Amino acid sequence: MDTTQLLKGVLDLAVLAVVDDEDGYGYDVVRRLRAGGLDDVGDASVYGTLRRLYASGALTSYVVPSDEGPHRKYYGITPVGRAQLKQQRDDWDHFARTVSNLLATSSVTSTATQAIKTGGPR
Amino acid sequence: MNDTLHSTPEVTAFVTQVRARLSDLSEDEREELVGGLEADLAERLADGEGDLGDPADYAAELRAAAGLTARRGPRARTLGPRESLVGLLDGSRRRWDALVTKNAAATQAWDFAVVLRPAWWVLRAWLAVELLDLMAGPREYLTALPSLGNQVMGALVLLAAVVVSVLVGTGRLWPGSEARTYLPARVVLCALNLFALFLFPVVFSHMPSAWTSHEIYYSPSYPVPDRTEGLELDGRTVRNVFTYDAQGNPLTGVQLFDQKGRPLSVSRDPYLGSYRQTGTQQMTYPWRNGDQRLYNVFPLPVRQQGDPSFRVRDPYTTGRPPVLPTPPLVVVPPVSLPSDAPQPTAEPSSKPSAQSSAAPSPATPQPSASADSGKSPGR
Repeated sequence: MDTTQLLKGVLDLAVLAVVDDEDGYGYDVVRRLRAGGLDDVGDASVYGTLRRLYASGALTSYVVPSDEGPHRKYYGITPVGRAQLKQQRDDWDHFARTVSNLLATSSVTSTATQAIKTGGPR
Repeated sequence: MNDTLHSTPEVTAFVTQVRARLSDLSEDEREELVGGLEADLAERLADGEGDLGDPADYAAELRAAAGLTARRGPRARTLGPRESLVGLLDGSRRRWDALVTKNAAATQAWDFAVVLRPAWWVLRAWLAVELLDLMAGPREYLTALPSLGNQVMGALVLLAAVVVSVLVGTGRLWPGSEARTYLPARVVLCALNLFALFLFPVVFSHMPSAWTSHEIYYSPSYPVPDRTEGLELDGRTVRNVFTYDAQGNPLTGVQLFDQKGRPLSVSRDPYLGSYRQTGTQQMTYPWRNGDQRLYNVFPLPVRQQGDPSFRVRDPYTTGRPPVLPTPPLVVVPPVSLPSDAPQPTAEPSSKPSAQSSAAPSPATPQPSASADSGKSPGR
């Protein structure tokens, strides 16, 4: 299954969670997401998400200048972001459980359908 | 993570291209998106993670993830052609660069051409003013120094155009100032340069050929001469006319008209006539009636000049003003009509040798009434 679409829905949550662990700059966040198992995550998507969360006030950012190369832009979580993280985590738990239940039920249903088709008892 | 992070030219170029694709965003939004991107990408490359991919895709992903596409609903629709145009321009540039870097000679030639860019800035300004000249003026050949009305004006306009063109070229003036960041500016700049290239043959087809270039160069806004105008004698152009009264004395300021009252003008074309035949370093100048230049009043003043192919604009203010030429014949034999009483002759000593043309008997002067003008019956 193509996980890109799924990822889009939960990227905010995943990014908030990673930054909540520890402040990080763009590529650092990407790396930690990938290390966590989200191999397919595109770095531009992560950067975009970081900027959007920053714009909505969930993240704060600060620049760490570098003498030799381009500066790094770090992101940290704000109280707003923490609240959002908690809210979304709850939503996600609820959603995941619901979907899991649904999948479990549907697997039962499909078994039942098969049983009906073959004329067997329920 | 490395603490010393070096951005590569590749990364810088990539970020520039991504930035270009976000040019419709406000400065703040754009900086919000690409700020720090260079460091991230440099580290990504240092991580050994392949190439950066297509900047257009990258920018689209960045934009989508940042939620900017959705916020700019109407803009999103124009995104397609915009990005494909940027892609086309960048792609052409990349292909060109790749082509040039393939061999050393081409690289050197291209580097040299890049150094010559200021020359192109001047040239395109000149082409633009020539176009203006072509559209504004009467039908005439173009001149190396555009003549918009007069030489001073042409020079001033050309100077202004060169300044503007160079400012655009150095990026100090729109569209040059935003060519790297703002797509419309880039398109306008490309279109203008292409148009200038296209102007090249147009302008040059209106330049005088080698045959006439000399004359045209020195006489801006001088109409293309009509080579059939003027007076001719035995197939040769008449450049000046000397008139004598009935007594045979030279006259000055005689206005000539034909049977219909049209001025009997000699050719104004400086190239016709004696110069090319005999190499005379003489140029005729017209009589004047206010601003009107008259070539039917004789003799025409002449001016000795190094180059007889042009007329000086204000010859009488120069150190060598035109002067009335010495007549080819000091005096000619006096003439009379058969029915009329001839004038008393001038002193016989100056009488020319018997080269009489029309007069029946110049050798027999007779006393008469001094009324040559009063009774001069037409034939």
